[in-house]
Amino acid sequence: MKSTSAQFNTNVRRALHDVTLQQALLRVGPGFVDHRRQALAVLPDAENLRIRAREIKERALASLDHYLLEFEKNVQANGGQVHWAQTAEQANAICVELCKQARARSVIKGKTMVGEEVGLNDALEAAGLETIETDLGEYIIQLAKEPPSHIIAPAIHKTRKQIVDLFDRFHDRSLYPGHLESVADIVNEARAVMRSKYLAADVGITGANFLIAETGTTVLVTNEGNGDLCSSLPDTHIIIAGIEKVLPTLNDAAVLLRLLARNATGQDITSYTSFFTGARRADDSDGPNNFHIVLVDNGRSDMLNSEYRDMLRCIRCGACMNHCPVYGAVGGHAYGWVYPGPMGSVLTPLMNGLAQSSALPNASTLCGRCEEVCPMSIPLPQLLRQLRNDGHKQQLDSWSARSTLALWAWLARRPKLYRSATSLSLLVLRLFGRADGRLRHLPMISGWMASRDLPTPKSSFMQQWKQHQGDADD
Amino acid sequence: MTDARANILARLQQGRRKPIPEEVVNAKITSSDASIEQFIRGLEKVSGTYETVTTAQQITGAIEAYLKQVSASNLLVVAPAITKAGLLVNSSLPLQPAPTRGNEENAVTLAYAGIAETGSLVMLSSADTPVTTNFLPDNFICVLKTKNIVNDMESLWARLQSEQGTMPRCVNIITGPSRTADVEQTIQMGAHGPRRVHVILWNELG
Repeated sequence: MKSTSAQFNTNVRRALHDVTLQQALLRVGPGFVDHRRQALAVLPDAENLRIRAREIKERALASLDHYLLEFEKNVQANGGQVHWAQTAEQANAICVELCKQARARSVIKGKTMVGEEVGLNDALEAAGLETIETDLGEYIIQLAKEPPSHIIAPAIHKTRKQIVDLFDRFHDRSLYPGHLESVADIVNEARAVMRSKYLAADVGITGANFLIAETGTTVLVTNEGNGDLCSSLPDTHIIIAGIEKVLPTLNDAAVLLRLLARNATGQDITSYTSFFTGARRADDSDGPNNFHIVLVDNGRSDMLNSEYRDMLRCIRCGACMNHCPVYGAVGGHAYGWVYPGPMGSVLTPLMNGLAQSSALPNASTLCGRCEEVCPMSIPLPQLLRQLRNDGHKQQLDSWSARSTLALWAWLARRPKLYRSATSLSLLVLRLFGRADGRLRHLPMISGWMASRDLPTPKSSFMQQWKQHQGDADD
Repeated sequence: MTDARANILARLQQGRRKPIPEEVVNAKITSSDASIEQFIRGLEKVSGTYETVTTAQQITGAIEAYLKQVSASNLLVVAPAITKAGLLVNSSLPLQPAPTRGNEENAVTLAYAGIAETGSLVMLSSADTPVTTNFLPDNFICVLKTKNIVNDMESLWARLQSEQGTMPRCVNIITGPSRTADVEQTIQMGAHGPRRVHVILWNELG
């Protein structure tokens, strides 16, 4: 998918003035945030679990090549095949080739963020394959031809009315009567439309939440059960997964699964947690005969060898974006690519290049909520600061930002001059202040001041500090 | 694409750190027990339903009554494991052997285990328990022997390892009906899989 991260500021302005989007975003916070808090409050030993989860992932990353090779060996032992892709293009080419080998005409897909990352749907469609997303949220945005705006709730920006309009446009009204009103009506029609697609599809493609080295197993969690139909009905099952998904043991997955759903939706566990190990066995009466895993690097091995290594612990729960005040205000599309919110502001520059997305690391107040809620203890604010630093070094920030910073740095190294400058700015601020001691307007930050007042400062920090020290001495 | 494999592995080798021993991370964290009560609490939390029986004969009656209660049609898809266990032999319902064709309303199968911590059913793929039986019907009925309820997922892996030695093609851990919240974050049951999950808890000891 083509990234529009370079137009972040334009995207944000559009999002802030989109009334429908703002209505949809109002529902994000209370739902996810409250449910997560309630789920974790009753989890015994939650903090210890979080420490353990981090250690498990660190252990996997410390010997990533070793565990991937063990995984590959065990997949092959169970009748499956493993394919390696360094780039998005390679990943797509492998999947298209596997579909050709299966003489496929139609593909059903479970939600895969790596699939979104490499632009798999476009590649499949360009190869003439009918490609249907089966996760309801993904299906809705596929009809709307939009990228996901949230990693676990891709159509969170859509209202019920918008979804009904899409179904009216795309569903054959001679087969399905329509007149959809309730959420149940919408879900039932999607179920009926999708059921016929499932039964006719030649290939199922899903992602994976974890890969298990000791058994060659892939783990997939869903609430709808769509991933399980994609993996059990067609004769070929292709799993596309990032190389960082591998864990040493099944017990490791048990620990991380206790955190994944609780942090994502506030559930103790998703409705379906499925473990796939290889192809259909000789005496099975269902399941795919062809079982393929496509392991995708696409920048991950670079991350492992960089100061952004911690980002590889991410299990894609979405808690960081659910708790982010910036995401809550502008939604996922403003970030311009497939990964939004704080995790996206780190991943997008690392995968697409900082030059194309230098505004993203600045799309954060560094309030620290993302790191606080992250089940894998990823220091997101620190990584965002590091990216800002990289951007500054590569001269990717604006001329005005650079010159302001340079001026400030020059002043800060000259304490006397700095103090005179702050005293002068005090006088200027008082000019803008009102008789009631409040600042209502300030030049250059009118957007910020539109919804808040500031008290007019009476004295500078140094003056207050001296006074405070004097009081303390008394 | 062998080049891709070699290239990726070479880069990953550069990124190696001192191996972390398994003992450091292997301490178990869970406080659940393997009780039937805990299993039922988990199941009910996710809108699953259950009925407790003590004899094989009671299972037939329980299933027939359940289908009436949810106003389902009579036709019941039956996994071979159920027939082989000698269940439903005296049933008056029209029975159809699994696997399903895709649009049948009801199916019944046998669970390998239950997980008390979350109220989950554990289904193994096999000729006797086809995977599609778990996902295609509207009403998913599952017989679970209460002696097969384990504490948690870790206990499940230990049991599977000692009893089977290897992983089957597919292990499905099922916790309540299929659901979605993709339309306006409103929870709706029966997205693609079963709208209802009904567990027949078979306590053979009475």
